[in-house]
Amino acid sequence: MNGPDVNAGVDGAGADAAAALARAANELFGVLERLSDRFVDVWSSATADLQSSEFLTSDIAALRPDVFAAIDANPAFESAGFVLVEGVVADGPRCLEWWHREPSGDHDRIGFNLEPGTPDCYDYYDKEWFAAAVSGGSRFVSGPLIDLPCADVYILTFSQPIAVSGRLLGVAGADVAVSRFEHRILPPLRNLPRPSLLVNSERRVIASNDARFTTGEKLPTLPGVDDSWSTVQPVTPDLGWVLASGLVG
Amino acid sequence: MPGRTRVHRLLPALPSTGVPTTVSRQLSEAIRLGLLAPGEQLPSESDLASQLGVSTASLREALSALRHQGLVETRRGRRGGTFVCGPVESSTSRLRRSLQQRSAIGLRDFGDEWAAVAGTSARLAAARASTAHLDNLDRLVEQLDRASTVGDRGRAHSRFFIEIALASQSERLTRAEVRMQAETGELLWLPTIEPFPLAHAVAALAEIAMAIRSENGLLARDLAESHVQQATRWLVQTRIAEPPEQM
Repeated sequence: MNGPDVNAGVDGAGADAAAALARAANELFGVLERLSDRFVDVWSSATADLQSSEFLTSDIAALRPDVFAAIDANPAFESAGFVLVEGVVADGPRCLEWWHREPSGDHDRIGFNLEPGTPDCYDYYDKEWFAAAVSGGSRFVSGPLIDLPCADVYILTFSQPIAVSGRLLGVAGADVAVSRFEHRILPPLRNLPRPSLLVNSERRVIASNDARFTTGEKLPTLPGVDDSWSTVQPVTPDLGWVLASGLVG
Repeated sequence: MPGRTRVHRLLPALPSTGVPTTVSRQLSEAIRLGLLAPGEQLPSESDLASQLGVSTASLREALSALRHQGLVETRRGRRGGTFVCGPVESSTSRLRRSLQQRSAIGLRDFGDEWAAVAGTSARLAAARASTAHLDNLDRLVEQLDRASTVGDRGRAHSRFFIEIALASQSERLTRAEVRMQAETGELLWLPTIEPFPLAHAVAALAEIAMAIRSENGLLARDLAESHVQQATRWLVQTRIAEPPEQM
C-alpha cells in the first residue's frame, strides 16, 4: 500500500512473512486436496462402470483410512471429513462423514442429525465454508470460532471443494485447532514491526504479534480500505487473508 | 484465610495421573499459593486421607513425595506430625518452559475467564466484604510492594485476588479464582527483558482495594478487569516474543 516509508525494508520482510503465512494455509489445503482427489477416485469407480450404478453413503467407508491418516499426520487437525452436495449419495439426500480425534488417539465419528426441519438439524447448507465451496467452487476458511458441535474447541474450518469435470460434489474439510496452528502463523509475524496482524475478510484477527490485538478480535475497518495501516499485503487472495502492519497514528 | 481442613475443596481437579501424584500436586499447589502457610501442621494422616477421599497408603506416598521436594517435614515425638516448610522457589527456567508450552490463544482465553471471575468478584466484594477482608487486601498490597522474589510476588498477587473472591462470599467464584491463580500465578513475575511492572501492579491493586473499601462496585469491577487485561496482555506478548532460554 502507500503508507509513509517509516521503516525501510518492512515491505520485503512483510512479503516474506505473507509468503510464509500463505504456505502455512496451503500446506493444510494440500492435505485436503489429496482427500478430495481420493474422493473423486472412489466416486468415479463407483459410478463409472455401469450406467445404473450408484454411489451410496456406505461407499465413503473406503475413504476412512485416508481421513484417519490425514488426521494422524496433522496434529493441528481436530477433525476432518467429507460433506456432500444433496443428491450425490443415492440413499441421501444429504451426507456428512466427519471424524474427530479422541484424546486417546482413536477416531470417533461425529453424528449429526441431517434431517431438514427437525429442531437439532445440522444444516450444513447454512455454513459459509460449505456454501462458498459448493456455490463458488473456491476453497474457504471460516473462523476462528468456538465449535460447539465438535467439543467446544476454538477452530478454523478449512474447506476444499470436490469437483469432477465441472460438477461440484461437496467438500473435503478439516477443523483446525487455533492453539495447534498458531505455531505455524506466529513465527512469520514475530520479527515484523508491532502491530502486525493476519486478518481475514470479516476483519477478524487470526494471528497477531501484538497482545493489544488478540486472535478473534474484529478490527474497526478492513485493512486496506482506509489509511489505518502503513502496509497491507495480500496473503492468500482467494481466502481474503491479508497481512496488516504498522498502525498509523 | 481458609482453614487447613477445607483447602482441598477449593483446589482444582487435576488430570488423573495416579492418586498419590494428584494428591501431592494439589498439596504443593496449596503450599505454593500460600493457602497452607509455612509452619502449619497438617491434619493427621488418617484425617487428611479421609478429607481428600484417598487411602492412607496413597496419602503416605504423596507426603513422601512432598518431603522429598522439601515442601513438608515430618517431626517425631509428642509434638510430632507433618508440617508445611514453606514454598520452594520455582526455577525461572521451569516457569519459562511452562509459559512456552501454553499457546497465545490459550492465554488470551485464560485472561477472558480470569477477567470475568475477578471482575465479578470485585463488584460483589464491594458490597459484601468484611473489615477483615478489607484489611487483608491492604496488607496484601503492601506485601506485593515488598516482595522481591518471583514466588513472593506471585503469592502476594494471587492471594490478593483470592482474598477478593473470598470477600465476594461466593464459593464458586473463590474456587474459580484459586484455579486461575494455580494456573498462572507465578508466570506473571517471570523475569524477562520487559518484566511485568511491579510498581504499576501495586498501584492498580491499591486502587482496587480502595474501590472495594469505598463500596464502589462498578469501579472495583472496572479496575479489576483492567488490571487483569494488562496482566493477560503481558503474558500473551511475552509468549509471542518467546523468551530466550538465557536472559
